[in-house]
Amino acid sequence: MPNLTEASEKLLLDWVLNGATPTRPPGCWVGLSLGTPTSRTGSEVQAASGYLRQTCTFGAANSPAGTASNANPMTFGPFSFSTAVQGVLIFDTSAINAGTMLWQGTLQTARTVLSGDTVNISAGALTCGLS
Amino acid sequence: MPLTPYAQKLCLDWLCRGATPTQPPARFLSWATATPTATSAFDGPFTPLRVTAKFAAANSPAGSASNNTAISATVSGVAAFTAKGVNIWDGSPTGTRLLYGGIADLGCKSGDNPVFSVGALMVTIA
Repeated sequence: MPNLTEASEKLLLDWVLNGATPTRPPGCWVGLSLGTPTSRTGSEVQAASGYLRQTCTFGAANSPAGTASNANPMTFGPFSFSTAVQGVLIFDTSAINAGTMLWQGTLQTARTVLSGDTVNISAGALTCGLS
Repeated sequence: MPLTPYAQKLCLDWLCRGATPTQPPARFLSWATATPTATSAFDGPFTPLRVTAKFAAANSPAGSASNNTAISATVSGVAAFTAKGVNIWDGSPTGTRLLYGGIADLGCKSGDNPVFSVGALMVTIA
């Protein structure tokens, strides 16, 4: 399944098949990755650059398309120094380096932000899919 | 083992909190006479049509879950056919399909009792 992390695969299997009683993630926070993330790890941008995770609210999923998109725009930065960003991460916690990573993916085009730049994700631009 | 479009929406809404889906209340397995697809189950002539399927907690990082009780049914009313897949539903005899997948061809005739022994049915969503 594209872009689910190993942790969220287990959450979903346990929830759908009722093999355990998983705790529903309390919310979603989007982060940025310096390198290409994997289903296990993402090299998250750090706070010293002016970065913070951003709250993400999803709309109800589309069916049969099997996708859900962010309902709110998100702005990262402004950054205090040049940073290369390659991926997007979605966590269940707002604090950097904390919580469980639920989704991961690479940007269609990697970005190198300069001091004073921001990274903007428009409403509807971030799509998670299970199809 | 792909999720059906219905289950994809359930899972997305649960994980991303875009809505408040109801957890599937139960799980039943049916055998199929053709490889199931996202839109067609191809349920076969079994008695009962669907049988209870129970699963253990999922493995991680493997991302899979297996049945923790044997799953079996009885073929009835046909001379012979080949089971080619399975479906997992949230109800029986009605309900909505959650997952589907192909299996190695399994020749069956009336009176046979195809079975998934404990651990033999592995579900992944990767």
